[in-house]
Amino acid sequence: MRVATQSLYRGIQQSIWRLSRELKKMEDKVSSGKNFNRPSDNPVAVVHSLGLRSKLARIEQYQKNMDTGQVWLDMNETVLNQVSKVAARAQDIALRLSSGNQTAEVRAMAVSEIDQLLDEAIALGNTQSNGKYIFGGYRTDVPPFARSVSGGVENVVYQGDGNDFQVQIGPDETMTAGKNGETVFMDSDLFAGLRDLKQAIADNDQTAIENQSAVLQEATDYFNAQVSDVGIRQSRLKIKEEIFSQFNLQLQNQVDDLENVDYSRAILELKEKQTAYEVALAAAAKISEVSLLNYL
Amino acid sequence: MQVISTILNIAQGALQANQMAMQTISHNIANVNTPGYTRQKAILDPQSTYTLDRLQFGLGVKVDSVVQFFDAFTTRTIHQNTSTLKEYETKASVLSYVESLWNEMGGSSLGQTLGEFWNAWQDVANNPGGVTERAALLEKSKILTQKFNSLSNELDGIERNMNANLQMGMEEFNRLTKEIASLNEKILAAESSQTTANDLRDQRNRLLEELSGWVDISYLEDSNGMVMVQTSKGMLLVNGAQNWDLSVEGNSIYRNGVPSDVSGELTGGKLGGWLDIRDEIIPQYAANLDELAGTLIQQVNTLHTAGYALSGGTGFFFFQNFLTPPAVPNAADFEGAAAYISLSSDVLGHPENIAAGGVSGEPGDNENALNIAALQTDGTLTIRKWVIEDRGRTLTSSLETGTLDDYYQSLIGEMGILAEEMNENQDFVQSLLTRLEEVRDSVSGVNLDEELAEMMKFQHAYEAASKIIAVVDEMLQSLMQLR
Repeated sequence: MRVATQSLYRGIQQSIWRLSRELKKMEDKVSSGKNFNRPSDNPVAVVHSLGLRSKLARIEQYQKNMDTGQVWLDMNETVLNQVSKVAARAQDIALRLSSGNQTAEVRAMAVSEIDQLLDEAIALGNTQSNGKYIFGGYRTDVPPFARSVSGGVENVVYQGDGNDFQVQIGPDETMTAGKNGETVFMDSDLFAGLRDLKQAIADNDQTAIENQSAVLQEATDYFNAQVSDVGIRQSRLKIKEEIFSQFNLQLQNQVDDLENVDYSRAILELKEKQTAYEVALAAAAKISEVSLLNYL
Repeated sequence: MQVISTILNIAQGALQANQMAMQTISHNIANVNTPGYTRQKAILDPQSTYTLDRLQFGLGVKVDSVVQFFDAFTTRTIHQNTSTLKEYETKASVLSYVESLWNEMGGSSLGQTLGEFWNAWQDVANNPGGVTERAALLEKSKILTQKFNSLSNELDGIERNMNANLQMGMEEFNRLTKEIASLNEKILAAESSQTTANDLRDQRNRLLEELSGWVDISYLEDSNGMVMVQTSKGMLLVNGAQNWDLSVEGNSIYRNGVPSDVSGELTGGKLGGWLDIRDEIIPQYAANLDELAGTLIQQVNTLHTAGYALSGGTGFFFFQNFLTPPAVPNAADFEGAAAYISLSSDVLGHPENIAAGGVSGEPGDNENALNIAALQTDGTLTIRKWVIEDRGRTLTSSLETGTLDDYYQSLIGEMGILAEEMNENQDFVQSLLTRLEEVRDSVSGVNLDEELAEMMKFQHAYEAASKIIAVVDEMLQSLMQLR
């Protein structure tokens, strides 16, 4: 085939263009450290990496949610332990007083102590975290428990609602981070037990004191059960957290593998392209040297 | 005497013919780098003979014609591929811009802002009474809506740019068809005296190649040497000395000022590429972006209006509610939703009106915030996906089931695949074209070494003819010395 002079130069030009484009691409890769900088560089890998990144962002949010849940559970654990102690202490007093007739002074002292324990239990029920009452159900802005006297009968009323606070700890997975005060306190009969015990001691009613002692024993057990319920949820969170942090690490690795340039290989490839480019330039110089004119 | 003067005449004719051949070589060498130049050659032919004493004698040489080494088939193939190349080039460059608009691999992409929007809802769910979390949600939502708005705006901008491109391209296009028509006329005039108008033909071929870059054409040479040019779809552009101008009127293209859209007749080349981008590629992205925005408005608002604000109030919109049909976007037709999406006046500046609550709106009520945040992973959403073909005349849609994220990622994937395809096609056609040009040049191109060798050949012939004149001179002188 005849080769036109223009073809020679055009051939060199084309290969220099192509090589410089490839060189530029490799340089972009090495300088950005990324295998792809735009979707068209590798659409399949880009979509894959978008999926991974979005999963990663979601997991980080779940981890954040679990931190919130953790704070609630820790708070619950501390408070419920305290309340259980209050109930146990009251039961102690009841046991002590049920063992025979006591002096009026001793009874008066006990009445005062039980009254304080009742205050303490109410105060614990009204615990706040970040300005929110944690046992008020969704009504976090009103103290959930208050003393009231109606028709001459002393009482503790619940002012919260019956909803539990949930946090999302996974796709389609929520966990109760805080139970409402109705379930935690009112169902335990602690307040009524303390009130009735106080009355019984004041009345020096042995049978009633013994009855209340049993009620308070139940309340103590109830709170202990609540504490272990919180414990179960805490360990659920702990397991979940471990899974997520492992998952997070894995995803991070996958994203890195997918997106990040393998430098040793990339630099080798860059060198190859540079060499090819230099060879093309050298060929261009050589070709322009060859001409019949040199021999005329 | 007669014979001697014949020898002189033959030698003189040889000088002339070799000079002419040299002139052609010189023309070739001069045009070695002229694009579209076709190598020429002087064809030498013996002069007619005469008979003397029953013997036939030759009368030397003459230049019969100057011919072109023209490869019509390859040239036509090059023209066709030029259209294809320009179309791919045009699309690839616009798609590369669209890709950078989306900026998926960088920060602050739509995908990322969407993720941050959902996370802001989770933060509100973690502390539903918190003013900071609510304000942060509004801020993130504002960024998200603005991202939708600006993407939609940029896509519109590309469509407008295409119209500006068409407007400018049309001037160039009309100039080319006009010049081809006028060259037709010149070639007719020049060739009426039996010669071939080599250089005019080269010029016309170059213009045809340029025109191919604008639109896919087919052409036919008639017996007078004039070409008739039409688009590959059959619309006449040049016939003989006449050409028909195209003009851009709004979104339409008129031929010869007749108010009827002929843009469907224009395929391939830059014009075809721009029209495809304006009427197919960009509208499809815009339509699917609208579906994404519309679904987001619909899903979030449906849940939000059912929830309770801090005040206990309900029925608040989160995003600005849809319009009443037939205005769009409405609940059944999301056209324009990406440009429309914005925070409703219910919540804008009123973080307390965010309906985080699902039962009462008490400060600890986070049920609705959880519900809305769960939309992120709701794989049961059905989102309409559009395919726009045939320059916007065929619109088909199907319902895709999946999360908003899935839908968004498939949009990015499809965009990437299209851009990659255009880049690859462009490379492929470019190398094909280079190959074809080599083939054409192997016939039509000038090779300097070859010309130099030819030059030597004619130089020696010229010297030899000069020698003959010198010899004839000597012969005449010896004749003169006879007394």
